[in-house]
Amino acid sequence: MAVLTVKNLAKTFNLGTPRASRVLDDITFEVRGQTFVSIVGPSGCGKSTLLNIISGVEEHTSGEISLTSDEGRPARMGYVFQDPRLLPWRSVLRNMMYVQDDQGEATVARARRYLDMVGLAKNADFYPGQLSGGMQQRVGIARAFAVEPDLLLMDEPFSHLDAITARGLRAQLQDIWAQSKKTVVFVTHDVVEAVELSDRIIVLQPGGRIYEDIGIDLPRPRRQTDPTVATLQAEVLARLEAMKELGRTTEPVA
Amino acid sequence: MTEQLVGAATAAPPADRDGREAGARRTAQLRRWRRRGLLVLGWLAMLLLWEFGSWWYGSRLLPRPHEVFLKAVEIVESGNFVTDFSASVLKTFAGFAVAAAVGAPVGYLMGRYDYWRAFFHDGVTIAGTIPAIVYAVMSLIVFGLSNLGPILAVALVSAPYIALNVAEGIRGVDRSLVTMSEAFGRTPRQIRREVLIPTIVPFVFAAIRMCFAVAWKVEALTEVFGGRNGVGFQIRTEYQLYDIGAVLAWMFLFIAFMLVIERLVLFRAEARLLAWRPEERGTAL
Ligand SMILES: Nc1ncnc2c1ncn2[C@@H]1O[C@H](COP(=O)(O)OP(=O)(O)O)[C@@H](O)[C@H]1O
Ligand SMILES: [Mg+2]
Repeated sequence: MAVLTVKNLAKTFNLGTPRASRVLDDITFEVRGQTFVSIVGPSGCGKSTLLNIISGVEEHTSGEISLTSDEGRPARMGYVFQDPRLLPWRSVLRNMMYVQDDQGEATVARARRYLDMVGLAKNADFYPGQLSGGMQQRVGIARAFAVEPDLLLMDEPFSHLDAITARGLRAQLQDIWAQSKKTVVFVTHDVVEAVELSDRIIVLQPGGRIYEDIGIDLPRPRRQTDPTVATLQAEVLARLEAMKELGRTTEPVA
Repeated sequence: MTEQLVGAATAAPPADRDGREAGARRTAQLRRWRRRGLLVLGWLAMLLLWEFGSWWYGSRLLPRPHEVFLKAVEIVESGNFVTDFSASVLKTFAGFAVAAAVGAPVGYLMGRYDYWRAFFHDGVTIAGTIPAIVYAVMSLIVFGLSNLGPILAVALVSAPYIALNVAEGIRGVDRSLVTMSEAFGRTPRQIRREVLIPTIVPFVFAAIRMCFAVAWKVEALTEVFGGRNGVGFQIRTEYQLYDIGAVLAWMFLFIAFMLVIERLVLFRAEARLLAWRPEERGTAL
């Protein structure tokens, strides 16, 4: 079982210069296998920075992070970004193979399977420039799932898409996740989306501290139209309103 | 309301649409033929002007078009054509190779590091502005009568272009693709091969195409003054024999040959390599 541990994590940009700004402050949490965790907070509170640190793309200033994988092998991570980030000179399938260590037939077959799950089986040989933005984003999702990551990081993957496409992709994501049961850390500024998708919501407040850690115990698959989902969404939103009040009284970030 | 809208959108009978498409096709075809006609007229006017010039100055000073054409056939039929052209082309490409070997690393440094950019920037810009004839003369002074002169001239003309374009390419690399690669654990080597180089290729091609147009003229010019073989050398020899017809024939053959290389070799290779660009796909396939 994959376990992600984050302990007393802090991040200050431009440390030691007059422009130093603390973005994350004393973040501690743990995620244990097959959980869908959302990190929610207003924009600029450090969500992307946190994901980048977890993925190893960004250095952290202090604290500890560890990720253990299932069988003691090095842990694999997948990342879905806000934008598709495909190589324009590689076809869809070859983009998915680019992030794979193994180039064998079994891996190709797996990539095709995930491509099929996002409804793009027919577009394997297309170049990204020949796909719409929503289709490209689906390739990005398939690419990340196809590495069979111990931990899947997603950074506001639907925020650049129109509402209808985004709703369709959220449903697709629920399906794929139900089939593959990865550990997911999903960043969003959209509470409604977080409640629909997650087992658990970690709320970050401006200044980069954890404000609240909320468990979402609802049966799946969840429908937007389900009144219990809507009720919980309203409840969580109300709690975040309370955070905004609190945000005004906390001291400004150094 | 809605139904009416839907009805209106699908109402146009297919027959009518086909008719309109056929009409548009005919108009486009007509326009194409008119353009071809003007092209032919342009050529005829040019030849007529040439004929008139020959008549005015006498065909010893300015040979008539068909005389030059026959000379060209003669040159092609004698073996000289192949040896001298391949000599010129080889020297041009050797010059390119030298230019790439020097220009590409300089361009890489300029694109990658601000310090090196500051160091090279003005020098490279000035080197790119110096007229090609100056490089030709400089190469002659350095190497005298030798095959190395034309190679050096081509290298000097091309290197600044290649450096500037490679620098531009490196600076155009999409950082977010590099971050993506790192997040998926790709090695620096993979990132260089799969992200950096594909980004630079179009810029290098632009540089080569731009250089090629200038380079082969400089190459020939340098040969005229100090070559031991090649097209420029042949032009000088014929000039010394006062055979203007042969001079013109060599010149036209050379122009034709280089245009063929540019169109067929460079454009084809570029279209092939850049097939992923949506607007290039049509020509590549
Ligand atoms: N490379 C950087 N250098 C300096 N400040 C940064 C850098 N990246 C992000 N920041 C700052 O960190 C804060 C959090 O950014 P980010 O993690 O992107 O927020 P979020 O994803 O929650 O919207 C912002 O105030 C942003 O300006
Ligand atoms: Mg962000």
